[in-house]
Amino acid sequence: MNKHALEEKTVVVVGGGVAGMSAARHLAQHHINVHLVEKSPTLGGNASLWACMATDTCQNCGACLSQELAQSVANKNGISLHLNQQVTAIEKNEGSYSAILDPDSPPLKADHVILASGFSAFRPDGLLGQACDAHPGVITTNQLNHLLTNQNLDRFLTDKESPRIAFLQCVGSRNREKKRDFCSQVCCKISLRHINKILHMIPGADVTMFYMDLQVIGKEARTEFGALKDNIRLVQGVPAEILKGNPDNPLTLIHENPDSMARAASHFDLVVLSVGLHAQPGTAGMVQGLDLPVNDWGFLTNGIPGSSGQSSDPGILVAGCADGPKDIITSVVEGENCAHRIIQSAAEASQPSDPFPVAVMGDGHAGIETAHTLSALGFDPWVFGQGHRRDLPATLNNYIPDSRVVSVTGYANQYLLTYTAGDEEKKKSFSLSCRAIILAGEDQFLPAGNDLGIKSDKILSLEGFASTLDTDPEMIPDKLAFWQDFSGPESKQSSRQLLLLATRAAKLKKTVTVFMEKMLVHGMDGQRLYDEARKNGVKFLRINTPDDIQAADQSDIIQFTVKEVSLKGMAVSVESQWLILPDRSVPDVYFDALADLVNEPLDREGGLQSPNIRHRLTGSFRKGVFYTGTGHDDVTPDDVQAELLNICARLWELKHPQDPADPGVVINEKKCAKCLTCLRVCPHSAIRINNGVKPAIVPEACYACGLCVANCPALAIEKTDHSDDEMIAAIQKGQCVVFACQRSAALAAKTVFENGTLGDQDCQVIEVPCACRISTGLVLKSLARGPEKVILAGCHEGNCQSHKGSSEAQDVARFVNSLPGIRENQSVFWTSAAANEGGQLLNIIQPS
Amino acid sequence: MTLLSQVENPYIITRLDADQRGENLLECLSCGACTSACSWFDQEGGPVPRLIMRAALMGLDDLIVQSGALWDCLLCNRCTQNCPMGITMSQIIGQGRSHPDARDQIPEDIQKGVKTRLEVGDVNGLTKEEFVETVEWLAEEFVDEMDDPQATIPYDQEGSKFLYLPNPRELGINLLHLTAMAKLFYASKETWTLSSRHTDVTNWGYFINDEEVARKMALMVVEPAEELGIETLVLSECGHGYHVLKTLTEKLIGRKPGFDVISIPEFVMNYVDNGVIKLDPAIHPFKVAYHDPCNLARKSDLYDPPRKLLAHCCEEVVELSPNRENGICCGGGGGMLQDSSSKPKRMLTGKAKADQITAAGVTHVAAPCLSCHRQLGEISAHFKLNVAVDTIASMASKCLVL
Repeated sequence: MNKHALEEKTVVVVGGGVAGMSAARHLAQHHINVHLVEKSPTLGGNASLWACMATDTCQNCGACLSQELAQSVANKNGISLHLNQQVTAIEKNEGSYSAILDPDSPPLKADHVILASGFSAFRPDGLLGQACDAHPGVITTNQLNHLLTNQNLDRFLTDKESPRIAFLQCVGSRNREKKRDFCSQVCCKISLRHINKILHMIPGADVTMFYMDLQVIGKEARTEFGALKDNIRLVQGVPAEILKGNPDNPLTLIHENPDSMARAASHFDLVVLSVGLHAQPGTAGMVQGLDLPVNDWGFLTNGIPGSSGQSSDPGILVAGCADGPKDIITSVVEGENCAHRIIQSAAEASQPSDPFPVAVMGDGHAGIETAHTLSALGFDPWVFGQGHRRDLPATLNNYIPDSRVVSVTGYANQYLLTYTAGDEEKKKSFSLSCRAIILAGEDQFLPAGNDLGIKSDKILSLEGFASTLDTDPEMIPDKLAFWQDFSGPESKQSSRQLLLLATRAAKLKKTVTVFMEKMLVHGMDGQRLYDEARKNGVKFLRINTPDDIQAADQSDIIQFTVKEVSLKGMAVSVESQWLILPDRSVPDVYFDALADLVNEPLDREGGLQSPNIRHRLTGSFRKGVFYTGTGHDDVTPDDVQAELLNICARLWELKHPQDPADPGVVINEKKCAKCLTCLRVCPHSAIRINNGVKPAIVPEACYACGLCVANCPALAIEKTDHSDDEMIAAIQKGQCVVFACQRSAALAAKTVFENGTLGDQDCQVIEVPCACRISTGLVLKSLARGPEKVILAGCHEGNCQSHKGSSEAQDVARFVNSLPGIRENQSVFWTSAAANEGGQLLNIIQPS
Repeated sequence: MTLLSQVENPYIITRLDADQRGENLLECLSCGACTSACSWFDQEGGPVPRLIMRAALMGLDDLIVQSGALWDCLLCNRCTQNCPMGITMSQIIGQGRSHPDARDQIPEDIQKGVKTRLEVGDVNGLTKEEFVETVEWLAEEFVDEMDDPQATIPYDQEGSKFLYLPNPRELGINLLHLTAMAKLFYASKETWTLSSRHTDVTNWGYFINDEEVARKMALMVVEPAEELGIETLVLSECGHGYHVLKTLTEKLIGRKPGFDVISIPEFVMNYVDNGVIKLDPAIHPFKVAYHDPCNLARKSDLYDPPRKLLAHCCEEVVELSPNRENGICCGGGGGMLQDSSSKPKRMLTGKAKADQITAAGVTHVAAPCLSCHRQLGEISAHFKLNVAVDTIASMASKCLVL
């Protein structure tokens, strides 16, 4: 690759939140000069103000990533930080750009601009009545985060064993009167995580969640919600006003009683307003004079679905929430995607194309899209089919429709697949050397079950209805009913397809009724489709459970009797000639085997890929193994495009390795007993066997976590940069020693040191690459130096980049405490502390 | 709501033209914000706004007609104020009230009032002759009271700058109020008049949502006013009268009337601002809570002039909480006050207002609406609030420095 072409490039990144930082980091890694402009005095953006949502385990919110990103960006060569500066305008002259700054500084000249100006949280002033504005018991999501971060929540709910806490969803979202009639997408999930955290901290808390349409979607979200829902009160219907009460009942909400239908007053001690995400006010002004459209809500928009990062100006890219509400992980990935687009375009001309085979597992929609995208970008996809599609475009040469992959060995850049293919009788075994593997598994879509007693010729799938609508519209009867969540929780894709089809039918003057438990709008696009359907006269009837609908097939018509949620104690009658049901989507049966093949875990719902945020959206514990498609997350075709861009960015890294990787881990052959413990424990499959017997570290696959170092029974694996003795050399008698994971606890400790709460004399923080590096030997050696206590601190369970770090370190703490001569739990502790949990860590170091 | 029990037969969705029913009824998200904001909010029974919206949306006309909600609704639009999609409840209830099957639900007093107004020109049946006799007698008294032979209560004076449109009560049980208003005009040193052809600011066509009736009643005001050639029509303190004449007339009669419309507190405030009218706040040396009539405030955007005027007439204006666009109805809106049989119900709907007044800890309340004024007086007695109630213009009149 032509390094010079990159070194000559300069990019201005507007916004130092997770998206901007992620873009800047990625650009700098590729030697592109970056100006990162942030209006506040510190990096991190909104995500850095958010509390860690972990209970006993990580809840995968990604907020802690902002600390890690800030750390890496602040110390990165090639990134010039412009803090306390705001970009007020961007000017374009002959293909290059100038960012005008306030306060006045020389304009920043650049070849590209990445707009990552983020969002601003809605301020609910005056929206919920006057009691809300000044009352200390009415707080927003942001204020709750602040209370959690500063560990002030219990103090705030003093003397209450069962504090009554209400969460109000959609405050400042889905509100046309406030010109904010879009779904902010992330708030339901944020509130559910908050509730989960509060119930963990205050098990007696009496929590009520008021919502319009609860958006339970995304990786493991349904499982998490399922575990939570019986412990809280869920009320459909959002109170519009909060009334001030007396000291016993400080706050009153009036709402519909979900059980009767009478108007009810409920009393609360704390009301949390789940405020929407709005466009950053400066963004629209900044792009004035450029040809960048801004939508009614102030978000940038390019009108090209699935074009993650692109704007209508090729030199300007958009990352994170500047073009609409998104979660943290998606914003991080978008930053990376934008950076990649620039790198790719800069390096393109000088790029000779070597063969770069990539195995794509799956020939559903995502598999085929993957193959197309990879081909277009100069990679060589090999599609291993699961029998979904057989007539592929001729451009895809390497398609093995009915294949069975028997084994996967090797590591990034050198995978070896063995597979069988051909007719049953003439089945042959083949092998493929490839550089990476993409698991593009698709959920199975099974026809909805029919236990309604309706004749099957009156029941259609969405696909079936769509094709009739396309080919034979006059076949369609006048009265139609859709049942959105008949087959279980709706997926994003199926609810959007349903809304589109219902609207099309309504436009043909059909009478269209949709039954639903809730409408999955999830974001701006979904809300628009829902609005369009209602405007066109589609009737949406809401039910609580499937039992609220009775159906009677009366030869020419289906007669539904529906207990609509808002008409308690009554029933309405709906006639329909057809019933259209979305397919039931379930993880495919082969996922288990597929995950086994690549030695990767499934998620709790049987989907591909672990929910660990260190590797999502598309990565895995194993370098060179990637995921896309409905098999690993609830994605639409547009989402798949964004995922593929991210995968390509990472394939690019494999194709053009930066500095030669040196994990700093070596196996001392003289000591090695060839027991292969390392091979067994390595979560990244980074140990290979040379000559059939000798284990060796594979630098390309190694994350340098040190798990093998800590686990080798012969002490044969050594970390060259951090030997045990070097690490403990500075420990002094009577000190508190913290072995801290560099991605979590060490960053948390840094914040405590930086704000001066803790000094070097109080505490010796020893950074380790991963908690699993803290071996029993290391702890014992450090105890020998006479510290007051030794704290083992790392990521929350489920957040460890190396999968097992936290549990390994906990085992070590437990084991050391069980040894004779060690007083139990007096000198060696384990604690988990995310990067954004400085306060929690401080409490362990210096209990108050 | 009366019909909440399980029904044997399901309601049948019959009408599909829900989009005709309100500007954007179809866009209802079923979020329940309306129910939370209803003026009946801490009362048992009463209409459940979401149910009404949803029933209207689904075309469940029977349900709405049978719900008992139609004449329980105060048309205060507090639910609409809070609706994220801005769906107008008063429109939905109005359609229910004018539904052919709901005609017999119109309260008897209102039916009678509408009929009398259309026939006689005054909702209480005051004839032109009675009007002239009353006004002439009042005018004589007025000369004495003002000790000024030029002081007058004129009627049918062509070319006057202002025409005052009184509330029927001002020519019936509350004559002193008309004199008080005359004093304000006298103090303004402007030409003004009453009209013997129409005497009534009210328009009960609005309550029964009969556009034809409402149009006739509006024309009964507009045409004579135009013939007199006035510049500005000054309305007595009347909530729904103001809402109809100020904001709905153009739509009702299909054209702009040939004059401006203001309420009497606005009129007085203009002359206080230009220094012609002088008021002595020491006349009322106490704090007075201001009540926002729904028809003036939320429904017609009139918030500040009456407040400003009140501030000139007493020691201090106290705000009730919540107020302005979030204000709580007195409990007599939507035609309820005009129905003499509704008193027990109004003491339920007035509970929220009574609590608000108690919380404010005041001895005096003022409202620029004679309906609110009456209801507030009744809830004060019923809930033993021990507050005195007045209207803004009446207080101003007492504070005049002549």
